Amino acid sequence: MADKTNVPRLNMRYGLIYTSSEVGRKIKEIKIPELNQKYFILRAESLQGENLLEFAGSQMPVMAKDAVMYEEEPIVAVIAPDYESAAIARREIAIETGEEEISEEASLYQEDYGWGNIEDFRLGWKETIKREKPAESVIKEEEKEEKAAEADEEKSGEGEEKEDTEKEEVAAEEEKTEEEEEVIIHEYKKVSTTFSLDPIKYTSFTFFSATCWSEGSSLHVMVPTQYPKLVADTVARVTGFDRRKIIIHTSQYSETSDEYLFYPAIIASITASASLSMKCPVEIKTRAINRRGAIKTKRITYLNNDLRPIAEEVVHTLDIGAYQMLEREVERHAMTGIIPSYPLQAFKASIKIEKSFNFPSFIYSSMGYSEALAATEYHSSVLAKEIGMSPYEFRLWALKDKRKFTDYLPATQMGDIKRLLTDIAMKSSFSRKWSSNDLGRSNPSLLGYTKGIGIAAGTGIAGFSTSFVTEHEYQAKLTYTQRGAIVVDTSAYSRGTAVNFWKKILKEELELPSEDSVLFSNNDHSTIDSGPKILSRFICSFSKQLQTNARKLKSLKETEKLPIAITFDVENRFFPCEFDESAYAAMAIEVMLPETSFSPKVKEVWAEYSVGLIADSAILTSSIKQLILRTLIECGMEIDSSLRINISFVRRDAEGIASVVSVTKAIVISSLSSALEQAIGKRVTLPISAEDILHLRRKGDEN
Amino acid sequence: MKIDCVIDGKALSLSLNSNKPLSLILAEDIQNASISSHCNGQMCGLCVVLMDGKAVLSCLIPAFEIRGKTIITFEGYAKTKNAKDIEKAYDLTHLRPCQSCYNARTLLIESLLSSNLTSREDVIREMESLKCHCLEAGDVIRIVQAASEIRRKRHARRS
Repeated sequence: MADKTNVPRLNMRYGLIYTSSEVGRKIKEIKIPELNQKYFILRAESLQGENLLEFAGSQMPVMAKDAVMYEEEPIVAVIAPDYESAAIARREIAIETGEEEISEEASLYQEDYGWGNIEDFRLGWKETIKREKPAESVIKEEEKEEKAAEADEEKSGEGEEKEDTEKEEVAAEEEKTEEEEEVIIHEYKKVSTTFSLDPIKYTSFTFFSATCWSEGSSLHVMVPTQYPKLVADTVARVTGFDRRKIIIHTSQYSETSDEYLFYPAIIASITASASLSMKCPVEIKTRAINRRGAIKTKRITYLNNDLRPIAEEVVHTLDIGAYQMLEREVERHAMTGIIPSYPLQAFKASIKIEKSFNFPSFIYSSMGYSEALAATEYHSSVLAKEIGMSPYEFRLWALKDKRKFTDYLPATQMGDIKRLLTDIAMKSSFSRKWSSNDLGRSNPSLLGYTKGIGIAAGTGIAGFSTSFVTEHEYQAKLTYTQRGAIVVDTSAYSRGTAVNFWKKILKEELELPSEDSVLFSNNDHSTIDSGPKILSRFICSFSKQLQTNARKLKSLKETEKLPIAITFDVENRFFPCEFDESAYAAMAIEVMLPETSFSPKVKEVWAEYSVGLIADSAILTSSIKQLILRTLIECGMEIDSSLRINISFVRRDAEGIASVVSVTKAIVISSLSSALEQAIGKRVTLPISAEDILHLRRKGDEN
Repeated sequence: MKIDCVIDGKALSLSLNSNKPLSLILAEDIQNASISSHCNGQMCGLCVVLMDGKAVLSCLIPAFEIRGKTIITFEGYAKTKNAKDIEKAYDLTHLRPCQSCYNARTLLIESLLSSNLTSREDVIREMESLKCHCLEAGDVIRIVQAASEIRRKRHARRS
């Protein structure tokens, strides 16, 4: 719930942000119009403190100072008596930039991971053949006989001894040629794919505003944010104001792609700086922005004689935007998704993180796991087609009972995934549709449309990696008050069903009369950093940590006087892998492509999840539906009223709340890619439009 | 230009530019928290208000058009008994719009219920003005039908 705070409107000033589209260039001059004293212009130079946004060791400037690095980068904030005056004043601002573009390094960060020797598979396998009398050796023998005859004639006068030795040598040579073994190098059958996702820029239709005002010695900041602690820290750093006297009020928001994560902190700190300079309340209005950079995965799989995958090499390239933020963590997420579930003798993966003059794009509902898993699953479907199997049959054939233990994921049981795949294939009649669609594509004019069906399955992860958790402290505080209430101190904007779960856990463990005795304090002085929804592994592991510490608190209560407080780690720092699996899911998507409009339509979606605790299956179904629809629209799909989404759940023995966000996104992208590829007959790049499909079709006709 | 209108039950006399869109008037001049969208006519559908009982996109309504009209925004509507009917329908069907379109969708449903339009075609046509696809068409129809039933029972009890 949003804070119910009365914002003082008296003497309020309103502001807008000036940005420039001339990115990657140095700022020569900023021309500001002459304005009266009712106006105020804020630039990077006028900030009271540091011009810096910092998150987990990564830094980026709040306002552009010397160069414009991305289009939405705030350059100037125009504060006026009302928004209309601010808009008029902003129109008069001009920026002069240098002509030369700032040079960028192509690849900034690269990380490799693998096992086995991939070189052995690149070269191929050796076969030794014993040849009895090949045609060449017969010719050689004839030549030798001729030579021997000539030698006899020449050396007829020489001694017999020499003759004998020569004959022996010839005989030995003959023996050698008979025993010679020929080594033939056979190349392994290769299947290569390129999976590409174009960048997505999300600008919300709704405005959000950051409002700042002073009250006594404290500074109040009201902003919609997924991360109140980051806002408070950034405001303190940018304004130089005492961190303890900054009060954050969270206004209502609805995040679709984590756009209220970092950008509000930037806007709030600019607003706070303007408010302190003008000594009056200031409100700045803007739209929330987020971006997912371009992603490209090149993958080669080597197959043995039985057409089983035996080795694989992958190059996964990610565009992270203008500033390097959390690049190490992004790499870990992407690497977890890149490792396939089927067994391999050798594997080599390289993650390349690149920079561009675009909005920093390290978190967009995922940190790269979903897209990497989508690429892996898409490759499995292509592999199946090359082998001559349906993607469903291939997965059942290639997946073993247990996944290989890697540094990134534990050896998870693949039986659950196989069961989910079978259920989904049955419900969607996958095998029948797959073969009939393949047949239908060869003659689309008969039907007036082509159809495609895709299937995918995967494991969900959530939260920061174990390495990240060990590097950065993420703690929570549990207090047993004198009145018998439990206060959980958290910077997380605690809302949603997860909170009800935690209340239930605490009520049961501490034998409280009701769940109302548990209070979640989400103030800015909190000790826990949860970050965005997708990164909150604390949804999964926090319940376990909470349970353990509630027991500790209970035993302490026997000996100590109230109030008692315990501070504990939010996540498990000693987990052997970077991530723990939180849920399994399988999905099939059927698409239809009308031959007249080429506008891709999703006909039906089938999804099944294997999860631990479910608080309310109706709410979970509804949120999954929303996520599926949002991902489909992001991929350029047309949604109409005939679309049906079938979601079902299977309970598995696991404690904790599953996070299905990452896996859902991944399997939607991957099954949609394979379905579209079947319908079009060409490799597709998402998001796709009717024009792209028409272009692909024409290209096919020309060929 | 002086414009007299009724917004959320309050009679107001506003001094405005005649072409200022209603969505901006509500957000900037009235500080109405329920309207945060202004897509400049890109038809996002998130700025729905009830103008004389009919659902309209407030970003497409210029200031001069609201003269003498009664505007109900979600902020005002949420306190009414009619809003409770739709809220109950959400709970009953276990279907809930996402936070971003909650206000707009609820007002669209209200517009349908007050005009007694609950057929599948009417619901689909009305919901087309909303770009958010957090709910399937079938789900919205279920909500509308449930809300219609709740309202009918409430009216029957009262009479």
